Amino acid sequence: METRTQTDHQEASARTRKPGEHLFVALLLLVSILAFFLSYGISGFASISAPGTLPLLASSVLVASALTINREVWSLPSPPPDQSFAHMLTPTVLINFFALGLIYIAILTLLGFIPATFTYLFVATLYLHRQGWLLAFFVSLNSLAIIYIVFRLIFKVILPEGVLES
Amino acid sequence: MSQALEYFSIGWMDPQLFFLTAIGTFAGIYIGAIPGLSVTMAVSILISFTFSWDVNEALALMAGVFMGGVYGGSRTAILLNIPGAPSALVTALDGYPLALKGDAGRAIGLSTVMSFIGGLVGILILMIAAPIISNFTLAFAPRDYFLLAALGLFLVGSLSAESLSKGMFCGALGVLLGMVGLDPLTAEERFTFDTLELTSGIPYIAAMIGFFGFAEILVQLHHLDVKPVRQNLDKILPSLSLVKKYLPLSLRTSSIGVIVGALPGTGGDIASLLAYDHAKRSVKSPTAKFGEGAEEGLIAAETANNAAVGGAYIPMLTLGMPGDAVTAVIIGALFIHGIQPGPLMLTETPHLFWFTVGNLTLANLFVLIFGLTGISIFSRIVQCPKGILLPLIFVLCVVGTYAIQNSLIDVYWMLGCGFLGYFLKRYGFQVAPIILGIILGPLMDVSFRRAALSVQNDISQLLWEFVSNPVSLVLTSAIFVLLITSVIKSRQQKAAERAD
Repeated sequence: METRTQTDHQEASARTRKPGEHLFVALLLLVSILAFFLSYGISGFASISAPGTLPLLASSVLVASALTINREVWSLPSPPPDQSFAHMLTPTVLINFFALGLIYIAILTLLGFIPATFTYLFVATLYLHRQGWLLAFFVSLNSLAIIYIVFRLIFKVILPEGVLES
Repeated sequence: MSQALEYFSIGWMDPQLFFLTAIGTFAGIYIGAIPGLSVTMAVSILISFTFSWDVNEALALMAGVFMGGVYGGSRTAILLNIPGAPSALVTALDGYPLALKGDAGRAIGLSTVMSFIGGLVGILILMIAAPIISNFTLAFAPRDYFLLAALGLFLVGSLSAESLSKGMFCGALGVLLGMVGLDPLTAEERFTFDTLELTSGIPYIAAMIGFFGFAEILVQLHHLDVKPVRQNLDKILPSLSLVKKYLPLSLRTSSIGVIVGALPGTGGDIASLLAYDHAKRSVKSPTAKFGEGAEEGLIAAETANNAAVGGAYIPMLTLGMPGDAVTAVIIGALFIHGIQPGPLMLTETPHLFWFTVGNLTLANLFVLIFGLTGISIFSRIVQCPKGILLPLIFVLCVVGTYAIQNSLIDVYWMLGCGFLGYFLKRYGFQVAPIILGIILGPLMDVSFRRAALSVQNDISQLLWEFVSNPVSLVLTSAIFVLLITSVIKSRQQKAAERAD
């Protein structure tokens, strides 16, 4: 049985660079430098009680730690050839799930909460669980009913209304 | 004394008040467990329909929701790695690994009993030492708040991260994200890029749901084929010997919780962090490594955040100052009912003080009762196939985020934070320091600048004040000791890795 902790431990103790890690940390360094200049742009070194003082302090820590992280990561051996960026970080299931999520949020404003959520739950459960449409249908219906009762009826939370619904 | 006891027992003897406290606690547990529904929000809503009630009834309901809500945040933190509230962030560090091992029932049982003990310690100290602690917390100057927040942030940055620099990076990133929006002192725009949507800042609940909830969903997509762990639900209630074993630790961490909770503006989040760090340093042989399912870590976090509730009431009842966001709302409720909390409250309206203490005690008892029921149903959540669970959690993330201020922009923030959190997690970064940074950043900013203004922007004078005042000196020393030990530990770890 593989747990997340065990997986993380195995990854941490592998002591090779993970696919795309050097590019990711380089990107973090670039963002940190940009944050430093933006922080400086708030009030420069005007005074220690100026609005930009803490952002400058925080972005300095950001740059310094990003540099250390880059030094650590770039000194690691390259990842094994059998590990790819797509396999480790962006498998097809993840891309599809993320795309489904984006579509769901987009149709929330069009269809409204109930039809959009039911459609999303049905399609996502059917895709991830793969145990037939009947199970996906009932699971989606029950889940939607519980969410609606808890949020809308008990806690009176306003749920998104779609253009078509309103 | 007999009169105090009489006031104390009002909530226990009156069936209506008894029932309202029970309902409030029950609802609070479930509100706290759902990310996006905060205790502050629930108490604020309660004001709107309790302002016409009798003050005792309103306070009974609010105390129940507050006590139950702080405890409830631990449920989803343990089961799904999604803290229901910021005060449960630290609970997830060891609670979730316990659930992954199949011990969710035991973890919830332990956290319930320990939350009860923590809550009890908080209330006892509120009863006995409220005026003394209030005077102590008044000695905290803005520079001390800055140091305390910096210490809290540094603690979480050094906790269980793969490397110290990654923890520091995430903490600093969180502080910067917390700076987005209008400056609270001068209303100057910071990192807004002239965009209207950014002027109100990044909602930390959306960020929390994104970094913990959505990022965790994306991580779990890698383990879709892994069979859900069967949870052991045979022994939920911890044995008396286990409670006895952990009693000294829980009393120490509860005391930390009360003191931090009593500091105006700080609450269960910092309290649980400091308590966790204390446990990490003082427990020589934990049940598992901290961050990998140590019961001591779970106990420290849960006792401290519940003890902080009693602590938060101390400045509220004795000084009229809110200990945290919820007590700020409760003060509002008291004003609506024509009651002025403050130094004269203990002499002018002692019945209200003792009634509140009695009510909190009752609510704490209900936490124990309701907390130990329904565990098997909650625990079965993690046994649900991931193909069903993940889409459902995603919808909860979306609805929970939308519920904050009925804005889809917040939902996009949640998605963005989740996406970033996913990459950070995969590359060995911890996301907890980012959330703490977002929460503590504004407190650090305002406190630091107030401290600077108090010495007319004289940096040497400010640095001198960091070491010349006893409270500041303790906090500054703690930061330095922590920094040095963390660097040494990090180097030793790297040397050991090289030797391997």
